[in-house]
Amino acid sequence: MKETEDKQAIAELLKNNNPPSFEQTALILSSVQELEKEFQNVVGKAFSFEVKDDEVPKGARRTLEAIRLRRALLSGIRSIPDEILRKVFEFVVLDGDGDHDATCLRRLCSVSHRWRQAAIGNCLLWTQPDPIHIYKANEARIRRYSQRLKLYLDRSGALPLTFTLIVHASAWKLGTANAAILEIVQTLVSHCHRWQEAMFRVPLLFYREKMSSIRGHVPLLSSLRIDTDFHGDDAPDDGAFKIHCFADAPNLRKVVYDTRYAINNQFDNGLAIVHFDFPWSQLEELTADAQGDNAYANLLESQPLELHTLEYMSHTIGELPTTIPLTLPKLGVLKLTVIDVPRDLLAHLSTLTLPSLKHLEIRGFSTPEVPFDRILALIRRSGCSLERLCLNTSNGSQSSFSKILTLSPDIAELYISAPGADILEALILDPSSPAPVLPKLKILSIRNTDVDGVSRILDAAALSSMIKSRTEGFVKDAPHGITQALEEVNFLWDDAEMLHLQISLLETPEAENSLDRVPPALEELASRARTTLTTDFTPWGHPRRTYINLRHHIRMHKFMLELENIDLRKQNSRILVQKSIPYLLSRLRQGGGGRVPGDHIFRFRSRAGNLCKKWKPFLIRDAQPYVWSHIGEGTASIRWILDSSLEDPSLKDEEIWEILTGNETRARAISWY
Amino acid sequence: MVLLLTSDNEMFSVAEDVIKRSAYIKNMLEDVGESDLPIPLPNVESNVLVKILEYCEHYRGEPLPASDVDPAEIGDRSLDIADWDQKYMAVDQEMLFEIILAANYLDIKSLLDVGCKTVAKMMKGKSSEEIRTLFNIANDFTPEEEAQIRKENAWAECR
Repeated sequence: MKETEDKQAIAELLKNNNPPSFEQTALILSSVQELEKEFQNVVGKAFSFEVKDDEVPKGARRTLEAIRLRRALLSGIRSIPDEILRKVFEFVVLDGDGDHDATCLRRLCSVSHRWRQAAIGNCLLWTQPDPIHIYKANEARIRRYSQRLKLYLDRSGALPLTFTLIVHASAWKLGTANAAILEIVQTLVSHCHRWQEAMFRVPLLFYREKMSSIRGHVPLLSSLRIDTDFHGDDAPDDGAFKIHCFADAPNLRKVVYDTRYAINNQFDNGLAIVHFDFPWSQLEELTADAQGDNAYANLLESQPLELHTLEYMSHTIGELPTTIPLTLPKLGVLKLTVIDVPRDLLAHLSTLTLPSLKHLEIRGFSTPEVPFDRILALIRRSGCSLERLCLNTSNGSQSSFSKILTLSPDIAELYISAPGADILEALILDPSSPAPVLPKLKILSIRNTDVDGVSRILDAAALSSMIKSRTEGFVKDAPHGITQALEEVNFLWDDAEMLHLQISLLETPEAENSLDRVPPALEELASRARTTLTTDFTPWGHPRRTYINLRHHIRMHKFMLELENIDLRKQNSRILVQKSIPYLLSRLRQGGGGRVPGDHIFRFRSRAGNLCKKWKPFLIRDAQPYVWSHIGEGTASIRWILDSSLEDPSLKDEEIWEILTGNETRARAISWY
Repeated sequence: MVLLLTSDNEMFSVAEDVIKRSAYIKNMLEDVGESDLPIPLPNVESNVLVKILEYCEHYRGEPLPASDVDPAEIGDRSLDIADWDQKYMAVDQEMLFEIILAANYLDIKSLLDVGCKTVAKMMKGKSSEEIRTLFNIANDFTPEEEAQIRKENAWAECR
């Protein structure tokens, strides 16, 4: 009788999600006590929360399950009040990075009546509508976006919104679903007073024609990101898009925009420029990839006292402020990259005082170069202590360069261009010196640009001495506490052949034992392999006949056999890494989307993968004291794996392998330098 | 020392700096002052209080969270849980929810957060049906709600 009542109570509770009644609780508690007695008799110890399934004999597992089920019904999630359930939902749906998991939210709403009400009742969960991404003029699909957006807007109450709206120019230009697209835009515009973080990638005319009414009505907008389609907009008749709708946004602090390639036909119609009007003086962060607008000057002339980051990249730049002295007390990052460097850049730099500057990056690809003495003057005037410095110049004396280094002992990342021997010597670290040069330098990047089409080689001896001074001879408890800080030297060469020549010169022939000596035959094969793998074995750029040329495929096969026959057990494999062979084989294995000639017969890609596997232990064995990484044509890097930088020392070999094959994240970052 | 009386009439004597992690007890001590009378905890059983005290003891000496922080303002919603907390929360569901309820009742914000994160992690990546099975939850939707859910899910498929 009692057993039947117990089962009924459980069945009842499993039908709904209410907490058990007093009677149900009493009944189930009584069952639990009996079951726990039974458990103790069979298992020989009392039931406890810590009991694991595998600690219990098979015969007692059903009893254990029965106890757990009853206890879960007595306590469990059904006893949790709604406010805690909502808090749990926030952790499920909104992650630490501020992202929103719409799928999880949808699932939570589909669990039970109570959960659905709890989720719908938590406005915070609905403040980030799913990103709207309209890439095709598919009206039914766009209507579904619209419905979903309205659902979020309704359920988020009056809370601030974070959203993304992407309307591809091609979908808009087709015109067949524009009414549905406009409905979405208008829905968002009608809630503009709630916008907090917005990301747009819409045709530029939207800002002028469909969103102009938001001006003065975005009181909460704090972060704005504007992207554009490549050549998605036609050049306007008046030659410029002037966008004012964000001009009166009292809380706008962060702006990121990219309009550099937005306008189509700009070469026919002259340069069409997109001009934004933002509340410049209140901005704290501006990242712009522009096409010669006035944002840089507008921002600085407004003297934004809270500005901490300014990253501006453009082909050209409008007039720069050159007359009024500008002090920006909080500016920590100034990155200015202009392809055509304006003549007034030097005068402009002389007006700046930036006491909080930590990261200075000035790059250009034309004259005038920024001489060292201008940078030195800026540092002196500002009294700043740099941590990252990037100078795309070799213009200036060693004396000025050395003074920059002396004034910037905290530099951890340095980027220099075509340094002469004197500049490289200025970077030599003497740990015993009372004032060692850049003792914290971790990453050194060297760009070697062609001058008037002529490639040059850096002074290999000076380069080698400088690198050695920062990586060799350090001992624990070194005088002045200086230990090796340098982890990475990047080589960014315009000319890939010159880079390999530089690498050959850098790798000193100090082989003392037989394993360190590189046999000439291996060296010759490695050089040939680099050329062959970068030409014959790429999956693109071949004329059609190459794909049916069996003789050519057989030659490739024979070459692959030569590589497969290399025995690395008793010879140093370093020359293969220097010549980027592991990187090229790894790239061949990955394929890159195209077809490698002859691969359907000779399986070159799969053989490349097998070679990587076979060579891996030897390449890792010889990758000391530093590891070569080849990232692309003309870009290479040497890396020291310091124990202090390893999160998990047991993965050191895997990390070395990722570096050798150019597959790690850092390689991708370097390739953007 | 502070005396605590649980719902099953067990008495606990606890160091004041340990139990002050509970904002509820802390406020009570500040309001009432020193007393020999035990503080009754009618919503907390002794086995749960033992677990709660284990947590408070572990974090003894750590700074208490600011009391004037608006929970809606707290930005950290990451599901990261410290190693010790993970081990501490490796209990069965019954105890897990008892801890959460007790942390809520005693107003121990950090413990409530850890509990909520633990439950959130159990749910993450699971389908609605899997969540129902995990927590013994019945599908009790009305036909109208079922229809609405189907409609909403259809809108979501455009993603």
